[in-house]
Amino acid sequence: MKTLLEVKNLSVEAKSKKSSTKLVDNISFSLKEGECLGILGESGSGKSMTCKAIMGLLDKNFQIEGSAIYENNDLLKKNSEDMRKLRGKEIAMVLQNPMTCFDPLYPIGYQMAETFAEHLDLNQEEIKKKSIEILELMQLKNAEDILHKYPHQLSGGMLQRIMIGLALAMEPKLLIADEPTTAIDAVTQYEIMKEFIKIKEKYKVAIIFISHDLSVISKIADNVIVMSNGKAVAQGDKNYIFSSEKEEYTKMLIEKKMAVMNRYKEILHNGRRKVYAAGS
Amino acid sequence: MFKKLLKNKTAVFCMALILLLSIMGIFAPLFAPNDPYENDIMNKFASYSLQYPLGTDQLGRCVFSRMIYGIRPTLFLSLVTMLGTIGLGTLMGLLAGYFKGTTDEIIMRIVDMMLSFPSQIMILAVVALLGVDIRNVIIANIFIKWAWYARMIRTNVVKYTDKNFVLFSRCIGSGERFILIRHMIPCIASEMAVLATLDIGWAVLNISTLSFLGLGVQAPVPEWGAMLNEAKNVMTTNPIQMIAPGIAVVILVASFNLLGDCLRDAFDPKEAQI
Amino acid sequence: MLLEAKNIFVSFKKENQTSFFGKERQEVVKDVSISLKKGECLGIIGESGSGKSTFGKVLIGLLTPDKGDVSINGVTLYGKSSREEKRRVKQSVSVVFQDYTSSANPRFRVKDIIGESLRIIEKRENIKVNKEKRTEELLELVGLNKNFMDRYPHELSGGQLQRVCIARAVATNPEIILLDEAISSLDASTQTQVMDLLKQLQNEFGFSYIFITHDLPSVTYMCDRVIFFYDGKIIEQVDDIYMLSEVKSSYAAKLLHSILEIDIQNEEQKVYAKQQSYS
Repeated sequence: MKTLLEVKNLSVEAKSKKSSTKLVDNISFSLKEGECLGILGESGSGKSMTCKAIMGLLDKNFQIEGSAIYENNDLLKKNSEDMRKLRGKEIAMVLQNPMTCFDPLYPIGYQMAETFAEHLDLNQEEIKKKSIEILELMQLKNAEDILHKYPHQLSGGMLQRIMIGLALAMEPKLLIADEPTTAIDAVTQYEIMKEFIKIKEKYKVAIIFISHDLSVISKIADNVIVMSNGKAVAQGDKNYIFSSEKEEYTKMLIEKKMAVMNRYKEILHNGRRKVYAAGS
Repeated sequence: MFKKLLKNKTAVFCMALILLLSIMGIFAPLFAPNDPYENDIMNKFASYSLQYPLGTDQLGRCVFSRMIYGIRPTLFLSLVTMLGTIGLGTLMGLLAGYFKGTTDEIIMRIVDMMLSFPSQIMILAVVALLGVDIRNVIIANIFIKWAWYARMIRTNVVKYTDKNFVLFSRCIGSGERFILIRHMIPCIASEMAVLATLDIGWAVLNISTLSFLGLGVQAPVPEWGAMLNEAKNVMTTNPIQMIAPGIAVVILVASFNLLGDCLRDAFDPKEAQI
Repeated sequence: MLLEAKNIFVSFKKENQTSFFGKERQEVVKDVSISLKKGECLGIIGESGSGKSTFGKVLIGLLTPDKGDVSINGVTLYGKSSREEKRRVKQSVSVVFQDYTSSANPRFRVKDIIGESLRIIEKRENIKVNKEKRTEELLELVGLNKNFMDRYPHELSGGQLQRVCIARAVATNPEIILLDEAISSLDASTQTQVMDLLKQLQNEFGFSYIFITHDLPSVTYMCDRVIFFYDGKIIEQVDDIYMLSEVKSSYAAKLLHSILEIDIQNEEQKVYAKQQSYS
């Protein structure tokens, strides 16, 4: 499988009148087709900044260094018009909090048509057909009804699935998902993760999956970067990181999550101790 | 917060200007070279001289002295008007927004009623009813304008009453007075500051307008609007008589508006250390 | 019984009325009754919109229900009781909210935020409290050092601000603390740290918690009993947390099934999982 995206020494600095702070410090990774990179970190660790920098979504107040090679082109050196053409078509993004990703004043069908009109050359009929196709693919019932509904009439889970469907419809090569399941309840989160896994394995889309939740990342990622204060404190194969990584911060994250999950398993198995110990 | 204000150059400039004008107004006898009422018909429309820095008007009175004495009604009366309007408006807005329910309905219906009258006409009507006297002008202003501010303040209060920190205070039993004074008022303080400074500007213009129309300050009391009224007849022969008070009004109102912007920034704790 | 809620009904006026002066109401809580013993931690789990937060507000006296009553230590919150009794009841409850950004007055420093609770103690017990010393003690209790006293809310991280809110809630010496999705907005590892803090405080001071959340593993970590909330009703009550696996309702079963565990697999398992994910 060929390498789709190669990021080398990416750094982002926020410039202000008096001082500058390094938000992302020397991040490097490579992503192959059909692979998933999980970026694990807490709020303020720089994980969203990294992807916004790659996508060209940061304004002039940020100074970006390093390179992000995608199909023999450095994304960081492209101008905004070229990046705009890539975004949505070859590189798609799914963001946190789906309720705020849609304009509350327009119905869903209208907003989906907006994306299609921008990147594909289809007439009204075809757009409607494609929108219904996508909604059914995401297992949303009454697709025609949904096209006429406004965002506030649908639940967070449904909106997030529409976002993923829209992202997929463009047949991107790379999908960046920034904490897509954080604002969603457990039952819907489970369904959405199944969608993501399908995207990865059936449609062979490369995914960068950002989250602060270990279990969600462990379900989908092949490789993991653990970020703290802008730096990559641990990086490598997912199974290795979650079982044998010796770095302090990573171990702390895993321990904390394990404590909760162990207790959950203990309760579920009716008091019989079944410790899911890391590394044993 | 005051320290933050002092760091802002525009704020310091505006405050200095307003302070200077206030001092000149309070200690007018010290600053004015001549008696503003003393007329000397033989000396009318005199040109600039050491004794009469801005010349004399159509009755031979010193324009500069009249300008300085004119600060008193223009600035101080507007201040009183603003305090009355904002005070009453804030009180009503707070009560309506915080207690909601019947209190809110009653106060807001009164506000709606007051707002449906055209303000300028109403002020003229009230002044005509109560008689031409500067106190009645102030009462008329307060009577009409409080409704505007009540509604704006109420909108802001409603924004804050459902915030979690107010809910917490109610949960542990902090008492309505504590919540209103320690929580609500500081939260709406920045909006109030902007409204207050805009209102002074409005009050200055209003008093000047009424004096211009002959309904406010009566001759021969010097007041910038009244001076404009007298100057309109001699615009071409003695332009300085109109230009001086005109520019003065503009500068005063502009200073207050700019100060309002700076105050709003100073009240916001997030706009802190940049 | 420390707290008892009987037959609580809550409804709100509907936004979209069918007729002009319509009085249609949207029922949010439908005939819910619970009880809480001293020192217990009761979990209320449900998805957003199920009515659990509204119910929580009724329990601590912030929202008057249409029907039903809540009594704490035998004193009714919404029925006929003297002002003195009602005031005393108010002193036994406290709350920590989900949204820490609006939980503290942005113009108050940390010492003022906690100072408000201390003021209540002063008024209630007619004593003078050394505010600075007590604030230091409380901050230390929640794991923050005294340098935080002069900071503003926007200068703190989510976890730190939530700890301040916990210190503030504990400062009034309550008996019951309502934790309304108190950890849901925090990062995963911070969630565990705050839950550990809450458990430690419970051991030390004997608080009773009502823990509202949508996250099942948090419930198993913190609580002794759990109630499943769905569409304004209790659809499942588990009185012994160890009996959790024996839930009867399909909603609860679906919830248990959806919990994602940490997935560390070898190659064989990966192939099996791939086959499963196509279904």
